Amino acid sequence: MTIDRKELDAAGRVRHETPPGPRTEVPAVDRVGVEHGASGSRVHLEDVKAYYGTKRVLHGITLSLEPGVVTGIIGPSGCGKSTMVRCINRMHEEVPGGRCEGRILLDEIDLNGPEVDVVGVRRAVGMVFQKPNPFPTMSILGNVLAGLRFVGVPRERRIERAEAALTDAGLWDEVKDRLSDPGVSLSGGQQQRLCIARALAVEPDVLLMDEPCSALDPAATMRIEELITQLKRRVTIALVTHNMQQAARIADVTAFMLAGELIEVGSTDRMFTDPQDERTEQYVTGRFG
Amino acid sequence: MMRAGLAGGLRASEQDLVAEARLVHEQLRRVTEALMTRDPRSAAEVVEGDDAVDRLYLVTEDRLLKLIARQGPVAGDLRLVSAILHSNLHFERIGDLCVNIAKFVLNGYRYPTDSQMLRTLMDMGDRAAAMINDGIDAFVARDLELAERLTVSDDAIDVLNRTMLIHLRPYLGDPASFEWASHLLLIARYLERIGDHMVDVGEQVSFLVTGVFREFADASHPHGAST
Amino acid sequence: MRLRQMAVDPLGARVPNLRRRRIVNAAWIGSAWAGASIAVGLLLVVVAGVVARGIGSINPTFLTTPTDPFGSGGGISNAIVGTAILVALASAMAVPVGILTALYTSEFASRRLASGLRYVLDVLNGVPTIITGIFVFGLLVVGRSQSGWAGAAGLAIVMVPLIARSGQEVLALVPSGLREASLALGASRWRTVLRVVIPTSIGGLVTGALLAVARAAGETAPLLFTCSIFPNLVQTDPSRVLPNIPITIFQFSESPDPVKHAQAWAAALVLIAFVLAVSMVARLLSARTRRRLQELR
Repeated sequence: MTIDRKELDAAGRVRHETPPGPRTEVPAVDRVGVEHGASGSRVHLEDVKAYYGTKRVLHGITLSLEPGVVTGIIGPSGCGKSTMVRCINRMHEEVPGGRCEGRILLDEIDLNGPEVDVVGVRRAVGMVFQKPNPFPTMSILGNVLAGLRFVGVPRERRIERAEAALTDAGLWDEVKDRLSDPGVSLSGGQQQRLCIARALAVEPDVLLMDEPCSALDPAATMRIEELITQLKRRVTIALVTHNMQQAARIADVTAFMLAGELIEVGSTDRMFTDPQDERTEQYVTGRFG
Repeated sequence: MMRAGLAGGLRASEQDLVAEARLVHEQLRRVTEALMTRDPRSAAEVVEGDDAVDRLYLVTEDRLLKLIARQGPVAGDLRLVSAILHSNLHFERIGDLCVNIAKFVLNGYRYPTDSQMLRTLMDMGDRAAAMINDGIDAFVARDLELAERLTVSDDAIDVLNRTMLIHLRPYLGDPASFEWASHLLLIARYLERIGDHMVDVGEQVSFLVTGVFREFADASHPHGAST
Repeated sequence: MRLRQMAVDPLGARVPNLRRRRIVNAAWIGSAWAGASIAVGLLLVVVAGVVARGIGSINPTFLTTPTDPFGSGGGISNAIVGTAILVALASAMAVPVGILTALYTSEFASRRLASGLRYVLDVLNGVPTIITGIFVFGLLVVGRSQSGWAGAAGLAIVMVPLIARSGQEVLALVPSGLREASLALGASRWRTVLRVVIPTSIGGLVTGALLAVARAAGETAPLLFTCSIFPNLVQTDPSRVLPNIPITIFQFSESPDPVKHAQAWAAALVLIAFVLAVSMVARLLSARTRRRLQELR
């Protein structure tokens, strides 16, 4: 039996005299699952503050979403995690009184810059919502085509893009014989994958997922989680979830937010085995409040 | 359908456990060979080789802790995690015992290699090495029968261990040989401990398969009490 | 047998005044049932009364012949055609305005402006229609003459708040998630409205329009000063005064001729049949739309 050298290199050096046990030096395998050659964009939030009218709900968030990485965003209800991702595709400003300050860079571009059009932002930064929301008057195919129409992809290229998107969302084989059925005739999990396909069709660099599984059963949740793991090579993913275990399972980096502040961010391994902040520890251990 | 992250982590951990067991088996065979030939070079290699065992131990320990933290294994998956964690420690300890034997060889005592004590130790070493192979085979195959048969081998090692006292007698009066002779007695004890560790691994296999933890009854712990 | 069982209700002792509670409960349910019965009964009595008195005069000649002011052989074809044209014109004016108003308040206006607009529409809806009639009279008839245009305008003023308010309610049922999905794909607001909001709620919007049509078809007061002095012949030019059913009913009922009285009932029957038919279509449409929107919630 040969030993996997790479595996051994990943571990720290430990003298055999050292009594082995949990207190021994931890091997340096606390590396973030960065996929090399990942093709998403980097998103950098710099001191982002968000308001509803005069009420401030984000108090200066600085955080980076790296390509090839699923960044899980956890925190109790109302901590501002949804608001934060909604600032990235400027959906926050669609809410009456919604306002966002600070810099949000997509690679080098300031998404809040005066010359940046919101349509371009949303083409670059796709979003999947908590509840599957296929357009009820459109067919399965029509739903995927809708985004392409909105962003003005030429008619003859739309169908192939739609098929590619459905394939990427792991839905093609299930729907290829019923593309003209209404999108809402699918099961909940399929509807959510349809929404993912719809978002992917416009080829975004970033995909924001706002509690994408909270309305789904465990089996459908597992499918979506697998899908997220596959998609991260293509698109930078931010995953807002109130389900800590979900962040633990599929996020490579986890950010913990509380009352509009980013408390701690780090590799998911570390956040769930050795968080640095007392509040993170309390939250992930379920002793909050 | 199984969650990819969990399945992959468990598979990798079990593969590492097998690798660790094979490595420890090799360490034991090498150190008994070094003992038989009084070969300090070979013994030094065993001491060095333990680093690899320790690294495998830590990789598995670390991976499984993170797996528990992130994947929340339950039922059979949880038993596998627990069984690997326990067995991992046993194999690591066996590695340490091999190092203890190697260090004795490195002391350079001029003990006779054709004594009854050495022959008994060789016999014990062979049996302990076979137990390591049987134990990890039983683990991989989830073979309850093979796991329970480890107690038979362990009983034989225990008997051999007790005969060491008899073989020690000729050297008791001789101050020149007393020191190495008592070390050889300790080595017998180490080999006997390896047998006990492997019986414990067998118990982990039993737990993994049946979901019930029980200590195997054998001559060394007739009342189910551990030594 | 059942009473016996209740008497020994093993948990009865935990509920004080069990008997009184049951009586009060029964009394409330009874009076609510009675109220509902009266409402249904009224509708039945009105419809049955109209049918009983009017059905005798309904025949093909009545429906296809213009009014004969002196003889008893005429019908109301001129009024049917005129009402159809009036309602069509009024709808052409009111439906776009009403639906655009609904879209503006639900999709574009700020929350404060939207609630203000809703209030304004409610007030407009509450304006007595005779006042609407006088207003249109002052605006379009004084100095000119009565006309189909003026009548249609009066009816349109009645229809706009109905269409707008029912439209608002339907649009409020469209889940905000659909708008967000569209906006998040890079669609502009008007595109979202056109491609997603309207297609999703179209059934409900049509329902609102149909109910307004039914209401306008029977409105009399807005026509009284604007479109009431008409000739007894089929008229299609809206710049002239268009004959119409509500005014015809009024005129017939004022006539000393008992034949005309019977014809007034028959005209009423035609009107009520039209209103009921339109309401039923509207109801079917609305049930379908609401079910679909409910499923989306």
